[in-house]
Amino acid sequence: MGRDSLGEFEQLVLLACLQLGDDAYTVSIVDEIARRTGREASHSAVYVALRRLEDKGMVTSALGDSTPERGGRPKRFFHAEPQALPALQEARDTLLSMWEGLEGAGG
Amino acid sequence: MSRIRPPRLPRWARPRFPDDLLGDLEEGFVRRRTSGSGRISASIWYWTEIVRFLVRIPRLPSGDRGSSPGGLDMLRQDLKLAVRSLVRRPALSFVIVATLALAIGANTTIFSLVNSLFFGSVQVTEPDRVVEIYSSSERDANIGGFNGFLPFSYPNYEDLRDRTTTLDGVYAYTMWPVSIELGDTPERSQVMYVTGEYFDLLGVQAHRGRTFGPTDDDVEGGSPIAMVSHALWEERLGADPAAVGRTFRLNARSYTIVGVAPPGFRGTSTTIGTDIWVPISMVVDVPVWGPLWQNRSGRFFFLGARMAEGRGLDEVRADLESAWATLAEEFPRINGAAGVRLLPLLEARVSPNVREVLAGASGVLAAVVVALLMIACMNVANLLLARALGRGREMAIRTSVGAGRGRLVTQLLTESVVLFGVGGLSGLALALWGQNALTGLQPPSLFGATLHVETDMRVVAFTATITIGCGILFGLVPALRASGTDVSRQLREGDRNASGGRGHVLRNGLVAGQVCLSLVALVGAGLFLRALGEAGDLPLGFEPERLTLLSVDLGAQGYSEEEGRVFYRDAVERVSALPGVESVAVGSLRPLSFGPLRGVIGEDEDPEDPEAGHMVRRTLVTPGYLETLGTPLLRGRALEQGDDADTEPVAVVNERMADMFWPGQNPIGQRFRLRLPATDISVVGVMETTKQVSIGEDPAPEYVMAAEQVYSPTATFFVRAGPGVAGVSEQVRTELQTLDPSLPVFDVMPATALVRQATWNTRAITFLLGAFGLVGLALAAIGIYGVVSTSIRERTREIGLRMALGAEASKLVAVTVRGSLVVAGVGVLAGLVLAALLTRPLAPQLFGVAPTDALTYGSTAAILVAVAALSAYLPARRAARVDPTEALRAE
Repeated sequence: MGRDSLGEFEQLVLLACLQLGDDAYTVSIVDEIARRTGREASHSAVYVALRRLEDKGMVTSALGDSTPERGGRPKRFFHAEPQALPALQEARDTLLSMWEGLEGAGG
Repeated sequence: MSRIRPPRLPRWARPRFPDDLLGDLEEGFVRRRTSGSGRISASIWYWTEIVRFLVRIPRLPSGDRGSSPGGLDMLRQDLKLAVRSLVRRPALSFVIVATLALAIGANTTIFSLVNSLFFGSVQVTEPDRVVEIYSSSERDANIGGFNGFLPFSYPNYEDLRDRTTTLDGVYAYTMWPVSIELGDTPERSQVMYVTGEYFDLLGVQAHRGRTFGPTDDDVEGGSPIAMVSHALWEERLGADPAAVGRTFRLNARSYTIVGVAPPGFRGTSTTIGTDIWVPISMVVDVPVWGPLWQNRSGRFFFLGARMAEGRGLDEVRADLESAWATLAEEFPRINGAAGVRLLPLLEARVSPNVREVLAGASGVLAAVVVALLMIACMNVANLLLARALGRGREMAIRTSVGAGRGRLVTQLLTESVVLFGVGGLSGLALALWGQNALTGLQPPSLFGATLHVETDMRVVAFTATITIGCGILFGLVPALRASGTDVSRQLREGDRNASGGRGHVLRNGLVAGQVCLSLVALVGAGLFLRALGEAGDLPLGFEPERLTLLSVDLGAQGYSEEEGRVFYRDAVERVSALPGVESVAVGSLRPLSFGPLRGVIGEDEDPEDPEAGHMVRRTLVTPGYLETLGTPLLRGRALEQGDDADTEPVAVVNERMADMFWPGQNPIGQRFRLRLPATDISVVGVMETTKQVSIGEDPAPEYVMAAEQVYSPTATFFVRAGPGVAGVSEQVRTELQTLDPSLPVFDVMPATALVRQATWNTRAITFLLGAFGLVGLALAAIGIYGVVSTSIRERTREIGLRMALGAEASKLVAVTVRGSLVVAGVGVLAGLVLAALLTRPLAPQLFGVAPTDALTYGSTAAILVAVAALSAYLPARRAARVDPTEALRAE
């Protein structure tokens, strides 16, 4: 898999980021994934995935405000870049092309 | 309300975590706490996240991996350095690792043994609610090998069950040997007779088929069904699902297998196990006592119970005691002198009758292996110290280029933990091998059970803990010493004075400690060795040489009493006609083996008085029994051909019984009464007291009666071969099976093997203590050798100077050896004191050898001093041979 292709978990995180818009940070992304898929993602795993996506240029980040329940520590908000959507679509198409002819098999 | 805070991170980890992530984790933690999670579960979540992040750090883009080389990077660097420096000195590292592997392996082996015995799983649902109930009796507490935890009679069981209110139910069980036929040949096996509630109360469900139900034991002799263990099903029945429903012969009856027990379940004890369970009502088939199973005087059954939900041990005990009080009142003659006692199953899983012996032996072994570990650790600490001091210059250089003392200590500690880690892993491997060896030993005190020594998580955790703990503890001192050196002095003077005065004191102290602990282990081994010698000299009451034993169970074969008598007569006749056979006799019990005891009272005692009389062992024999066993007849006559069913019952009593019943009188012509079945018996002779169950036991009462007067369906043939005749056992077996080809002949062994079995514990402990003591001695010798040669190497210049000034080589050697002897002497003295304190509790296992036996102490001390002298002499002599000019130039 090339450096810019997206892993399954990265796709989940990136999609959650897109869904959340301006309110995307680790905790809200974990919640969003749980709400939509029922899957309990690890905060650390989501954080690491976000930093990798940032490295790949899929998202940008900026430090935001802090709340008391965070012990006075800032939130890092992530924002999906324009190339995120085509990359996600490409990943989906790749998968779908592999699925062709298998629909209904093993039902 | 104060703010909810997550757990604090250790300082080394903090630089690894970005602030924003810590914020995310704290937010997650706080949300868990406020939504009702407990502190512990929220903390577990938090730490899991921390670890997950640490593991994922390498997957972060390189710019995001934190600023300082903290945490894992530092550790990795230290590990790399540690491995490199250990590989650089392979011989030293090998010695250290081998030493540790031996010591840690020994500890792990013994720990896994203790773990399997005392903490082995019991495969019972909610085992903490299950208790075992025993009958107790002030008198006769220690007879019969029950150690004061006695069985109950069946009617007493039923009444206890019905009169208690704090229990879900009470079950009863007993074990008895039977003949079974699963294949073509009949074989001997222990069967457990259990009440219908047994499996339900224990919460044990059938792996196949069904377990017993409450109605399965309703009709006496009416339910020939059996459950088999998973192991038997797999090994003997080929794990065949159709085995349920199959029939097999058990004694003279055909039984149907109704179920297979779950894997691992062989009863509730780690020391008593079975492969076959049958309903308790079938116990009526057991020869001799079976028909009496419903008699209130017959104590044949052990009890267990499940405490009702929410009931505590004290409540249950009070309930049982009050129920028993009513039984003692109603049946004063039978129950008056007895009480009840209960043990939680988790304590009773090591049967109380062998618990003390096993606990004692385990305690000794544990003490020895811990001592061995200490010796090994001291040795390693010493070697590390010597090396660390030798590296003073390296440390000084590293300090001067900016490494803090903390860094140096951490790095040296890492080295020692790596050494211990490799030693620990090798030790674990050794232990796995040792466990197989232990499993192969199978102590004879395990009644029907197989000892499975296994490595579980507890064992691995134990090994990891001692390994890392000792690595840090014993690595810390050398690390602190080495890192605390004066930089400028070290760089200026090189290694010459690296080991200052304090270093010597420390190292000498470690050597003295080693000597001390090896002495303790060797004294222990010496004492047991002497005890073995004593055991060989103890009078057994019979002559084991040239005596062979073979057992049969005619009752199990369905012989009637008349057929049985005929068989014994014919068999004795045929066997005594064999060439090489000097004499032969039949006896119902084997010496040095468990056997039932019978209530016996004196002629003038009141049978209604429960306090009257004693529990006595009875052996039924054919004429010539005493002569064949070599048991001396002290007074009167032996049993003869004429003592049969038509004449008055007579007995030969042993000396102990004569002393108990007729102290100071002539026992010949006296009478005593067997309580059950009530029989008056006259004494015609007195024989020497034989050892009944163990070699170390106090003399116990016994009488022998003619088997023609009281029939015994189980019997052992005692065959004494003539001098120089080898191996009559096969001929005897052939003769017996000529009479009945389907008869299983079992437990065929020379009487000497019986005696060896009886000293198994002592021999095993002697062997282990001896082995550990010798390893300890070797380690101490290495320690002394190492210390002396290091200190000589450091003093090469001084020695050279002295020699140049005319000192004699021999004097130099003498001075060095004397110095080491002082150190060893301190260790020996401390060891003697420690040994005297530690061996005192062993007295009961030493067959009369005093725990402070001067010979053992003296000779062990002498050996240690000699080894110390030799270990110092060798390097000293080498040093004295050096050329003075050579030594001076070396600097």
